[in-house]
Amino acid sequence: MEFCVIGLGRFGSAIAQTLARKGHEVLAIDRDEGRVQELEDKVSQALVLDATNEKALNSLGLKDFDWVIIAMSQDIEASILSTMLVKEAGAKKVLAKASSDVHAKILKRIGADRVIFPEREMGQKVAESLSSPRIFDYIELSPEYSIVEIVAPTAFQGKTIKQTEARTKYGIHIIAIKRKKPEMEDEKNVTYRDLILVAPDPNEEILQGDLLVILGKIENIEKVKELK
Amino acid sequence: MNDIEILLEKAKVYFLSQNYKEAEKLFLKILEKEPDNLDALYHLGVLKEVIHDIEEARKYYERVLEIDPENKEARERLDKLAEI
Repeated sequence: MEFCVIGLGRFGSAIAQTLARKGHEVLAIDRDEGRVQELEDKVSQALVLDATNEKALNSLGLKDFDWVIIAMSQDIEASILSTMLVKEAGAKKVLAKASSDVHAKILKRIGADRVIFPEREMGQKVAESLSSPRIFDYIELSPEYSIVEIVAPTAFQGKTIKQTEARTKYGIHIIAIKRKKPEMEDEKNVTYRDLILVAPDPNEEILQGDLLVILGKIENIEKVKELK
Repeated sequence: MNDIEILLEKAKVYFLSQNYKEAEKLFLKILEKEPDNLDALYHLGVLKEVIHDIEEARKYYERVLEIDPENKEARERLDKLAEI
């Protein structure tokens, strides 16, 4: 796929580099020369350009990209202006980073296809993990459903997935198991390797220390979280 | 092999076969005899990581570093835990 990332702060440059590492074509843009230079060798192309300059943007052929990502959010004016300009230039899909609710509302009104709040989303995750230390990750799918990663409750340990009655009794699905499997590091020390069993077999036994990735209604997940 | 070495080998075998309770018992038995046994302390740290008892893991690595401040393995593990 082809991506254009505009704004190469910490957030934008992380997106650009990750996409490039995954083998995608990435055009990275910022008006700061230093930031562009830093990414030059890591993405397909990096350009010093002012994304609020209509003529400059039109020269990029934005309609050829699958996604244009507006990654700056501190400068709200620049973020809004460039979102509007890239839409006008024919970008198929635009993802923009917002810094406040009002900012997000404006971005949506002027045509952003997706608006994200990385700080807020990360904040929610950190709060969730601090308030219940057994939760390692949290994705809200809808107000009703979510996916969480929890340490396997003692009540589940030593049982197969089927025997836990996760689906029938608790109304949740165990969609993956993350396990640290001990192995010898050298002649002297034991270390571990991270394993992920995706869509595990119903006969898979749950071990002490397993992290379970579960999907279900939030109220059902809460019940499982309360299990010892 | 002396008693401690035999216990250590046994504990590691339990650890590798994912029998964490027995492994922990034996590592603790070693510490009863030799409270500063670095191998037992370090492996208890790794074991606690495996069963997601991160606070305890941290304590064992810190204990290793108290006894042997230059211990590279424990230092690396501790640094990694801070990132979680």
